Amino acid sequence: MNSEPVKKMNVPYFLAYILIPAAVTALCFFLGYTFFRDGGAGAVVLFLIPPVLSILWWMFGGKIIFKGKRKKLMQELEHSGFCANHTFDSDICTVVVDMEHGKIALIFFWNPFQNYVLPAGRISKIWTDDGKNGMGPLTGSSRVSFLFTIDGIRVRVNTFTSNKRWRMDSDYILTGISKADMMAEALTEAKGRSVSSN
Amino acid sequence: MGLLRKIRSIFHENWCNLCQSEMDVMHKQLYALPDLTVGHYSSHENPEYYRKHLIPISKKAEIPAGVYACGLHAYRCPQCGSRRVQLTVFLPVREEEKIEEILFFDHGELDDLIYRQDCSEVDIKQTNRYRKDFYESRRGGFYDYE
Repeated sequence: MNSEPVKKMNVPYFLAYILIPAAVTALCFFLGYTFFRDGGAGAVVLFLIPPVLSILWWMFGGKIIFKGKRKKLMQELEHSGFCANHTFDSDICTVVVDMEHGKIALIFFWNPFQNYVLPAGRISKIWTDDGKNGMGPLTGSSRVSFLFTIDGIRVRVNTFTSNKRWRMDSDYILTGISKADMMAEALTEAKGRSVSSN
Repeated sequence: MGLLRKIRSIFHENWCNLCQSEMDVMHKQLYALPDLTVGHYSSHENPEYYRKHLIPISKKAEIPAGVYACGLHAYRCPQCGSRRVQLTVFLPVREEEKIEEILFFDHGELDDLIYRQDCSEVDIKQTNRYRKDFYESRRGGFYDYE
């Protein structure tokens, strides 16, 4: 069980994730410009491959690391006797709720090397955000999420996201709200168990 | 007249499909379906499934968030006496209902369920279950409103 405060983002990891591929690409461009100014196979390798690899890394690298660490976390939880009653995988965070023992486990996309297993009693506030905005017939939402505050840090977990705005009675929004309400209920119950067991 | 009424009866679930007269509601009941949760819906047409998993409840507020529900209407035709049970499977979301499907049973398949009384041992929250859910993302096209 962790006692340190929750960190949603590991800043060195975040900067390295973005800057290292950019720096490697810039270095390759420099080398290509310096040594292969007349073209040839070397120029192709230095000018084409690093940017392609960088884009692939930015697109998929973080997701692969996050998925791997999430899988490892689930295995660790299973061995430690953590009862994963409810697991929710979002784009930026995974929340695992143990309602039996009143505990939660967290792992964040931008801090994948640190897992948090905490008593749910440390959560101070739990709520659902349906993302409703607009007026009259244009009322709609493009994001539904559940939120909780732990150690004073607000954690938002998306249950639905879109680049379009959907009517509030659309199936996607209703499903998102239902998932968010369900997770908020699970967290509230875990918090209740954690508080009553202390 | 008869043909017109037959055509109209297609659009009225509470009309008898034998004599096309309006049927009386004999029984109404709301059920929780804790076996199905949001994001894990699968269609079931076998009445045995509903007999096994439906739990009668008195009001929608008793259904935990993310759990499906069923509204049962038992009809009886006052003219020819034929019976029909309509089962509406839906996801209650606050004040809204996301209807998944409407099923009809014409041969008394759900009679056991209608007249069953004792369901006190069933855990509606099913807290001992292990659930895994995912976020959903819809992307594509230009930014617009749907």
